[in-house]
Order: sequence, then C-alpha cells, then structure tokens
Amino acid sequence: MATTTNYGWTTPNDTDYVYQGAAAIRTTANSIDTTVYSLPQGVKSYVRDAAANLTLTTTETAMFTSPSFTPIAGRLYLITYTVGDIYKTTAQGDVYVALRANNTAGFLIDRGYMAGLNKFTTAGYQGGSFTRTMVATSSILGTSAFVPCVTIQPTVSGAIAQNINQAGAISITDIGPA
Amino acid sequence: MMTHDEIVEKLYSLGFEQGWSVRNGKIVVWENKVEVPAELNFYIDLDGND
Repeated sequence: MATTTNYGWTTPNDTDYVYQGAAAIRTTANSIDTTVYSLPQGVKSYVRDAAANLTLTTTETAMFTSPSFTPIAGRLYLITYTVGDIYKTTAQGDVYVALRANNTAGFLIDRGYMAGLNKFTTAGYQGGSFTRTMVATSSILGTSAFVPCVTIQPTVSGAIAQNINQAGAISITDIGPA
Repeated sequence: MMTHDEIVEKLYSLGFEQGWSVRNGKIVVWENKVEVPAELNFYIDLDGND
C-alpha cells in the first residue's frame, strides 16, 4: 500500500481495483482528518491595544477586550494577557489584573496581581508592565462565545493602567488537542 | 473638551476619592451616593455591567 511522504497517509496503489476506490478515499480522508485535528489551529482571538487609558479608585473596571471567541471542547488553548503599564497614584497597594468573559460581571478566567506598589514618584518608580500566561480547556472556558476582557482593580484607591507607552495584548491560541 | 487627565483632576478637586473610574476620557464607573457633577455630565458613559 502506498503512503504519503510526510504523514504516512495510506493511498491506493495504481493497480488497485476501481470498485475499492470509495473505501480508499475514505481511509485517506480519515487519516488526514486525524492528523489535522492533532495540529495547532493557531490564533483564535488576538488584540494588540495601544490606546486603553484607565484611571480608577477601587472598583473593578474593564480596560480592553479582544474579539469574540468560542472555545471548542477537547482543544487546549494558550492564553496570554498583558497590560503595558500599571502604577499607583496615591497610597501603596496591590493591583489585581483579571481576564474575564465579556466584562466585570463575566466569569473569571484568570487573575494575577502586582503586590505592594508604592505611589508613583519619579525618584522611586514602582510598577510597570504586567503579563500572565495560562493554558485552559473548555472545562474552564465553557463552550459558549465570549469576549475576552482584561479588568483592573486596585486594593487601595488610586491607580493607573495604560497601554499608551507600552502596548497591551490579549492572545488566545489553539495549541492542539487537550 | 476635557482630557482624560483633566477629568480625573476635576474629580479629585471636587472631593471624589472613591467610587469612580475613567477610561479613555469617559467616566465608566460611578458608585457615589451623589450624582455626577453636572459639569462632567458630557463625559459619562457607564459600563452598566455591575
């Protein structure tokens, strides 16, 4: 039986009977289907945001979003979200950064924080970019469409989150079967 | 037109230390017991998901 060069998919021999052609095509197609399913499917939702500018007190607030995304059961997703700059404008405190579905009322996908940021001063800058990376399946993400949304929440009033000087991003990539 | 930073400065100058967020030059969160000051009405665009 002949096979393809790279993935070894079975193909009919030139001398095979024509009446066996349907079965041969089905065998090859199933092999292709299996191989393609095992491959990474690439970026599913992505945004590079260079505009979001958020000043907030202590209420969790949406900062920016990426295009709607529908998770598929059985697939594994690599998720990264980044905020360009985060710093405190008043007293020291933590700043939580979350990735949610749709808005601040949506389900929580992931959350991290910048701990104990001091008030911004030119002499003692504390703050900077924030990035988290995670993997998730439909057990976390569900199978319904949602808009990935980065939200910010300081524990102590007064913070700025910006993608102006350094861009922020959300990226969700299908990296293969779960 | 007020800039993003001018809106923030105005809120602080009016004594609002809590209960608001300003995103891209708009007040998107307002959780104070009093209404948004009239001079800032033009800049209200609440998220409405709380």
